[in-house]
Amino acid sequence: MRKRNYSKFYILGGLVAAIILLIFLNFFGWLEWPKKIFLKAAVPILKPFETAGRKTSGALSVLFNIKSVIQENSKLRQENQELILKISGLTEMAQENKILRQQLQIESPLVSKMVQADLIGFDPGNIGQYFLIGTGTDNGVAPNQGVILPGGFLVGKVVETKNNFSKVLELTDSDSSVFALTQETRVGGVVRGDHGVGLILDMIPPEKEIKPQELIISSGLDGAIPKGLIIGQVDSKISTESEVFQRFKIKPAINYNEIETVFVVLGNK
Amino acid sequence: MNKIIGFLSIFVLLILQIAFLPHFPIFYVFPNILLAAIIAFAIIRGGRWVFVFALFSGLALDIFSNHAFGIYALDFVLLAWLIQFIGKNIFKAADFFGQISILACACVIYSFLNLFLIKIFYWLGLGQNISFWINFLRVGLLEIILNLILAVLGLAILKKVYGLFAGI
Repeated sequence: MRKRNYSKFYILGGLVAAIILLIFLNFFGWLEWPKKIFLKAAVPILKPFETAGRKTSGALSVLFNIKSVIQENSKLRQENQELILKISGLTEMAQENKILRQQLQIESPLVSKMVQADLIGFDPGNIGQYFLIGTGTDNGVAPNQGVILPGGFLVGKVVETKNNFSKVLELTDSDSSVFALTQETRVGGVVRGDHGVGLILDMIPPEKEIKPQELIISSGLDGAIPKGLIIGQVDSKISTESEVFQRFKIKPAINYNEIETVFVVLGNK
Repeated sequence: MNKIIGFLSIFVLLILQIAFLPHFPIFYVFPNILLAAIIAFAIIRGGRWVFVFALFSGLALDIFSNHAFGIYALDFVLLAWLIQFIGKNIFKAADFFGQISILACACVIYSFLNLFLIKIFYWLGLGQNISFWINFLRVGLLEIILNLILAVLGLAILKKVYGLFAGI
């Protein structure tokens, strides 16, 4: 009996030693090929399961929240009408802008090169807000590139890439920070994640004033993240008068649970 | 043959953990189905193969995790050993209350060990820093409950499966 217990100790010791060896091998990049083989087998299977999960959770949430869905629907219809009016005004302005650019011979703003990617999974744990996309270095994806939704909504940035998949850090993660700008008042600051549940606009000088409900956009100072991507809307001020900088709670512009397809901004064309 | 089925089951559970389960969070937290399987397997079967399955599951999770490589592998292997140690020396793994007690201990140890290892790896220069207590209170407590529920279900299912095979 005693001998058996000792053998269990040896097994544990051997396995811990093996894991430490694997950590070293991984640190020096010598585990890339076994990882590649494993990912080649696993990544194609992830997407159908992810789709099934999203559809099931969507169906369940509709079932449980039917009353709020009806209310939300009527609210969205009203918002839609207001947005149609806004779009019509903005289209006119864009046309005027184009004509003026031609007359003044100003070059058009740079257009970014992008690659489409499907969301295939999430971080297996609960600490950290990450998701996995089914595209990687094979398609030119590299760390620190911005990840956006159609329509120009900033989702996060790439933190790690392999051949056929990449890990994306969501804006709401505590480790995430992006240089941002308020759209109307043009005040610069930093948008940080708030433990996965929201966003905080930080580093706003005390003398600057920010309008309520103002839109927050990326400032383009991060390099790989283009200027003008929508991050969210100012919700409320959370800093006290004694603090050096002002802090605001931001309402994210997107629902991270509904992300299905994203675009990775590779760089300027 | 049984071992191949074991590895295939782990692979399927891994896919579920990465792609399916995160769609069903409760207050932003979802359980770990691989952990539940390893705990249930360690209680019912024990033996050396539990370590092999724990190592394989941990390494597979490490590939997809954004934390330092090796955290899940160490966590699962240490947990598999601790479960067998508790099952032999503290609680009786054969009776129902003993099994539930081991499950509860395992889930608590897992959450603590996970956060502790992330911190240790950070101090060693690997991975990011986290706030231990904020994460334990925000995520860990609910994670323990959800993992425990899933592990109890896993144990019941595994018992049925073994019962079925025993009958054949």
